[in-house]
Amino acid sequence: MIMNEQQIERYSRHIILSNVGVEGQEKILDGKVLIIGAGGLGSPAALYLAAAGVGTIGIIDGDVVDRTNLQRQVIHFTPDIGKPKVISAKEKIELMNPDVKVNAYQDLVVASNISEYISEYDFIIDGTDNFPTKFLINDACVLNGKAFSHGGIIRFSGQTLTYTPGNTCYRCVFHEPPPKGSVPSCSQAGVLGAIAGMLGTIQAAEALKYLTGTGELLTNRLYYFDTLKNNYRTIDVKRSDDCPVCGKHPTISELQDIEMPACDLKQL
Amino acid sequence: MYTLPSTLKQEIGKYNDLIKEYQSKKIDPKEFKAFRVPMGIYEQREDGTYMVRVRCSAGFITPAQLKRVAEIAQKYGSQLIHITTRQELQIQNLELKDTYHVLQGLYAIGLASRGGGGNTVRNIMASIDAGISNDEVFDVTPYNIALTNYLIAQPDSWTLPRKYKISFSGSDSDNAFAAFNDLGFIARVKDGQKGFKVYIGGSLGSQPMVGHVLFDFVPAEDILYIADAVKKLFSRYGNRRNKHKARLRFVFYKLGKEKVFELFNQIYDEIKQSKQLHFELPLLPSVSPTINLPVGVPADKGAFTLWEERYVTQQKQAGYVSILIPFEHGDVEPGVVKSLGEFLIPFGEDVIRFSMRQNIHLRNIPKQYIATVYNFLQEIGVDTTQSYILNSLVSCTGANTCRLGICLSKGASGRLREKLASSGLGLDQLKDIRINISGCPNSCGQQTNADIGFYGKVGRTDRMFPAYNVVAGAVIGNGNPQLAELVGSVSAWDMPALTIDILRSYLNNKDTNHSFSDYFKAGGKEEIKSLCQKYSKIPDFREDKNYYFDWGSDQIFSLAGKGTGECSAGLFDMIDVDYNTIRQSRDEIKKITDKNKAASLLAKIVTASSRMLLITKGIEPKDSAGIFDGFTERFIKAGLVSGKYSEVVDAVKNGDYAGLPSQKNLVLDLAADVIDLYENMDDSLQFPAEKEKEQPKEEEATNKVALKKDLRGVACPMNFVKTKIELSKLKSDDILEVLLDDGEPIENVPGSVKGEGHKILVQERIGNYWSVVIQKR
Repeated sequence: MIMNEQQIERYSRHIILSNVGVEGQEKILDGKVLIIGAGGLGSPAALYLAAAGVGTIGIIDGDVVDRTNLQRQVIHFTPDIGKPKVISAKEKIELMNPDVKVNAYQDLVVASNISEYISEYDFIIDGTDNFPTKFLINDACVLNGKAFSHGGIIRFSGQTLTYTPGNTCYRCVFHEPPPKGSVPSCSQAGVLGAIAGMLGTIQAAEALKYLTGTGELLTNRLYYFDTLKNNYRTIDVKRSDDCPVCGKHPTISELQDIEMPACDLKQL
Repeated sequence: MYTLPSTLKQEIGKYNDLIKEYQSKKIDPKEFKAFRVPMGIYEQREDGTYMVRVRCSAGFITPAQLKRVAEIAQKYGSQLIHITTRQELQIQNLELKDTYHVLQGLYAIGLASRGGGGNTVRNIMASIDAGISNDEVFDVTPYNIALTNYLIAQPDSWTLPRKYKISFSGSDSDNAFAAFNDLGFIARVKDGQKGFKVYIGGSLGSQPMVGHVLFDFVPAEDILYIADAVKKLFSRYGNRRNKHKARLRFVFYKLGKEKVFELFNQIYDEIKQSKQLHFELPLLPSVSPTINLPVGVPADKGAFTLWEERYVTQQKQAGYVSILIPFEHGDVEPGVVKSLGEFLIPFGEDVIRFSMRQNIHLRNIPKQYIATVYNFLQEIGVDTTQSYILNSLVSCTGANTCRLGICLSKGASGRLREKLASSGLGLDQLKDIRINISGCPNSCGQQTNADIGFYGKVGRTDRMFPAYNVVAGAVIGNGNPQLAELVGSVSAWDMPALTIDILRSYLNNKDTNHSFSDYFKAGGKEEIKSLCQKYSKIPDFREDKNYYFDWGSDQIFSLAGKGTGECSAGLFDMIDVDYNTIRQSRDEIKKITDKNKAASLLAKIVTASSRMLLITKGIEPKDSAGIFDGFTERFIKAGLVSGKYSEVVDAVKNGDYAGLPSQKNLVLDLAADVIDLYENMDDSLQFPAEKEKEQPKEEEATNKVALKKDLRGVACPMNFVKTKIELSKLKSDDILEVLLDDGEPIENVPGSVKGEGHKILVQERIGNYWSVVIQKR
């Protein structure tokens, strides 16, 4: 991949960074990132990855844009209401940066298709809004040896963890989805829109660091913040020998859909 | 008035299928676009918004059609109908799914959009006063329609290398710009037989060209054969690879006039021998004999008389007049269009023409109804109080809606209009002056055939400001068409003031000069140049910020957010300057016998050839030695052109021209090789030889390789970025030398390079710049 003059200009602020440079930018341009969910987290992640010049961005989402999305899902605009989210996102990215190839999949990830979707990508971003899918993404990435960024937000707070093969996975920490009804659904709890921006951009930064191989990732550490009280901290999280998917005696060896819609209003 | 082709209905159906397939993502957007654009449907700058361009041959439409077009526009939510400089209509701001219904609606009233865009036979133009002017040789409208009917029925009219523009003028004054279209016809009569003088290859755009005279006279029946032959010629030899070099004029640039004429004649003879084309002239609608309308009386007699002087013209048909209805930038609300159509229905079918200055001209209005029309125009809010020139400024859409735009041409035009209105100039004496403004070097605003024209560019002090190149003095018609000449440049801020100064100077000399082009030739050119000089000083940003804003924008001027087009457009312009010099000098040298003159022309060719492509390497030489050094280093030594040219390049560098005439062929080969490189350059400004070379370069670099990069003139931090780019091509311990400007660059770049762990081996001043030798870590 040899950059042309316009690309050199466009990515000059990356190239200047000693940890990125020409080589790093070339890796970004060759990079492939899959974003699952073109919502609150997926929007900022997609925008920053596109601006950075990630060569191929895949986006999966089965929904169409709804007026209630617009408060935080910044890649969608008012005229997009009713449009498939992946198309809306693809249009914005193509306007922003013609270097990026966007694969838009208007689909839901389920046990039967997720391995095929992630197989083509270097890094996966979990931008979903429900526990079953978050566990499904974790399991699929662990079983297929893919790096991914977990992210979750609610009310004024957010958390994120990066998984790379051999390190702590989401299930090591959380084991299994919470029982139905024990956690408020997103639609009941609400979320401050800017929190989605904060967390989604952290996920994008993790993806870019992973692609360029620079710095320390949020592996074996869970980053948690609460903007209401302005607490920001990382919590060390260890790999669990009892983890059902990556422990010593794993019980999960193939993917299964988990019946527990936690944020089910929109899915219906 | 033209006849819809029999295949159109089916094509509209196919278009609808494709919309659905596109929307359900069964086909690639590019595939859809490839069908949509030649159908005359364009996506506008705003996402998901489309416009339909409606073919109006000769600018003709009937009142009933006009009314229906407006109704269709209203039904599908369009708030804007636009009159184009090719005498057509556009229905703007439509949703994609509705464009199909619009096409169907148009079909029902005998109108088509096919060929409104893309690489097709575009709307065929005709003199605005065809059929009603005292000066015309004969009415060209029926010929225009006959040719339209013939061409739009042929499938290969939609798959050309680029657009194919045709125009008909009724007399040598060429008021339909026949000499500036790909194919142009000017009415003539010879031995009592109707026919045409024919121009070929003209066009505006980048590297504009006045058409060549293909025939001094051909009988009228032959125009189908000629249009067909030109189409085949274009189709066969046009450049389909590079759309920026695809128009017919580029075939002339590439092969030369004689060769193109020879090829044309072959094709023309073939067609004439093999085909019998049916030439059928349509009957034009006749004037309505009785009009049952009350005769109006103007409320203000004085205002009416002034308007009448400005906007009403007697026709050659006694008792009838033509009335001009102005619309700023050709924009009209559908509601107004609908009322106008309705109002005009009683006047008959042949009453409307769209003009190339984006206005509507009524015709065949009986004299007694002038005041009726006047009152009606006031009712629908048309301007009846201002001088015509205020309503005839032409501007492209500019950077507000066009991605290629540099300047906000519409804003500038609006400001010019205001300034003109309050200038105190005798505006009614300026009725025929054509002022055209384009936001960038593409000629959508048709500045290259204007009296006074502008095209946007980026000006620079220590920062960028919006500016215009100024062209003037185009000559239209009378056997000697000429493009407007570049006479200077001006900031966008001063552009209205400059224009008023030019017009004042023209008015002061109007008594002795018949037209603006006469004025231009008789000293006006020098006068305009010195007026541009008057505005050449641009105050510093701190002193006066006005210069750094464009008209109609509240943000400091920048190219951010604009497409990639404008930067490369600027680059191609610079290349074109030398390209044109080479072409002209090559033509000239054939005629010259004087040895000294030949020597200096050859030197000019060597200089232009050496400089032409330097910009693609980011080199902007500050003196003439820089040109030849740059060329030697980057083109000869780099193996892009042969080393045999060193001899002539060095000779010219040393001012030693005497030996050049004996090496004429070598010089011409050099020019040809440079032009060849240019034509084969790809979009990233790479030449074919370089692509092959890039691979081995890295393999060779096993040992210390001294790479050298001239970064003078490159500002921080791009100079550091480019240094890193060069370093990335090297291996550890390899050596890179960069040249940097004094000041900020030398203060920053070496430190940054060191900060990344590379070694600075040498840092030394050479005159006003620095050489820095770096060893890669």
